[in-house]
Amino acid sequence: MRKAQIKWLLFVALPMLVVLIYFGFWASDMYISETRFSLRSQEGGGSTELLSFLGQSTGGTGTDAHVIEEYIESSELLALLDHQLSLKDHYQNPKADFFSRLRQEPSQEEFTLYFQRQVTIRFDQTSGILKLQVRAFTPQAAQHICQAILTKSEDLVNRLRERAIEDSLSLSRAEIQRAELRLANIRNKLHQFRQNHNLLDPTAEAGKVEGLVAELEGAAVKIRTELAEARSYMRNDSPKIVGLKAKLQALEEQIVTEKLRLSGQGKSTVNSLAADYEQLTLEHEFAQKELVVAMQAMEAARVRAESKSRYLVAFIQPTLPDEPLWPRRGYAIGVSFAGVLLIFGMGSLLVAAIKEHAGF
Amino acid sequence: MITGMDNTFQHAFKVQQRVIWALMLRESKTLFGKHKLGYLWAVIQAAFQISVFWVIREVAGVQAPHGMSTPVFLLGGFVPWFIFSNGITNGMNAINGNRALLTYPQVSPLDLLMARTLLQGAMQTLVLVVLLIASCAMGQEVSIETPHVILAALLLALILGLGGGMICSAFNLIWPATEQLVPMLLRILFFTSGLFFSMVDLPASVQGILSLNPLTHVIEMMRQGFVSGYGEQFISVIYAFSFSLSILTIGLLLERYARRYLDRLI
Repeated sequence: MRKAQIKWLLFVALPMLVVLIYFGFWASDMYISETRFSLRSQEGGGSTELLSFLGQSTGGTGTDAHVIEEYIESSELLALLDHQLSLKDHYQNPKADFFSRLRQEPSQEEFTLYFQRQVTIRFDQTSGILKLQVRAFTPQAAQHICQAILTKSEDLVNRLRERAIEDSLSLSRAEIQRAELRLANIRNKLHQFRQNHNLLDPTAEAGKVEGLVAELEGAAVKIRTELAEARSYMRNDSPKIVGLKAKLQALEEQIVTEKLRLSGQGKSTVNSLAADYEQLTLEHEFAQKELVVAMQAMEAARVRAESKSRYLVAFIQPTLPDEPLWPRRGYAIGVSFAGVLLIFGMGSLLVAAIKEHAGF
Repeated sequence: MITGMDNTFQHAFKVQQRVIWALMLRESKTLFGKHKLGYLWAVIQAAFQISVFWVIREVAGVQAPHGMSTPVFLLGGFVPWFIFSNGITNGMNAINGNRALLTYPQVSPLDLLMARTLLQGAMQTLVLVVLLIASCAMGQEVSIETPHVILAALLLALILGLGGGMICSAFNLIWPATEQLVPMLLRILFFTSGLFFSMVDLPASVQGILSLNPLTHVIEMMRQGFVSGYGEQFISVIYAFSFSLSILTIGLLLERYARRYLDRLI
């Protein structure tokens, strides 16, 4: 054999034979399950097209999508999935070929790296669509893993959303608590006031006393008239006039005490009590209104937060693959053939270029 | 027999090394020897171009992405570009400029090309180091997180420049109008390779088209070397690598093919 033929055999035919044997006979089939989902919020679609062109970080669905991307490739998710579906056992399947299966007793990092190779997650910035592909040795396993990842991602999105709502509500919640406390305080005061003065409603009490005074005064006027009338034909010391006088005096005394009760100098007159009471009822009304306003503010905050928050919508559920699409045997063989030829060609050209300098 | 073959190969390799080294020394003299400032001119040229775009970006108020400082971002774009474009323009004229040297039987046309490209690569790496130190001294944030990625990007730019230079010099021998055409093509590449903008900021449709240009990958790789995690979704090392190797192989082939035209010229 000539030297050129040996080289050809060694550097092209042999590597190609290895590649052909591996992809033709040895490589085990893998099934790809695919799902597509996007993160949507109530205001606007999931697209951030315009902003992404300007090159600003949009901070909208884009950021959340990157969070999902990172999460799907994290070892935390892998640990959850492994616990749920015993991934290790599946990927360590001894029937699978040496290069595509996970080796026995892998370290945490190896397992993560291996899993990252089996899972591809792509985010299209313009359409806001996330595309998830999972490879596994059986169609069912691929679909299950894909479904589990989807569920876990949804959980994550929900957790993020709840956290965001919680954050924006905590302020108004504190506001409501304060208003409630104030209202309770004032109610207490009002109760105390009523118990201390043995009254239900000082304003009504004052009205009652005023009515009484007016009644008494009316009676006094009537008696005075009667007295004047009697005097015109009776002597001053006649028994009727004396009786009327005594009655009148008693009435006037009563009027003076009632008036004193109503608006005297003391602290516990009915009028001052009514003023205090009115102050308290006013405060009570205020506190009530404040509570209502705080509650409305919280409701508005909740609506705002929820309209801003994102939720995950899977519009293509994980597929159950029918045909093993991995490895792409023809493609792999073609690419390796081109690569081997390229490297061989380049190598021999370089060697030839160097050899031109021989003999000096 | 095999040891004998190896000996001739080793010997040939040593001869070529010496030839290229000598050519590089000669080339550096002709390139910078006539100026007083010498090598400094390469630094000044690069610094000038970069500062022009720095000012433009500063005026437009565009922040370099991913927490990079603007001069580092621009250096990541311009240094691979200079290596590539100087590799092509210098390589294209290497044979015409040094035709007399080809009368020495030790010197092959490829040596002329390689000497020039390697010299350019070394120069631009020097420029990179000097300007990085300068921007560090100016208070800009300079971090080199994965040096091997930077080295790989520089190497890929060098291979692309060398391969492109070989192809262009071959075409130049066959069809002299190439010399007029290549600067135009280079101008297009200058604006589409992401020297002064980031691929990551572009919409997916434009990204898809521009990602066919291997230089964009090399440039983004360079930036990734400065700030790891940058442009991860865009960069395809395999694409850049296989494209560069293909270019080099095609260049080597064309160079052989074009020799018959060279013989005619001599």
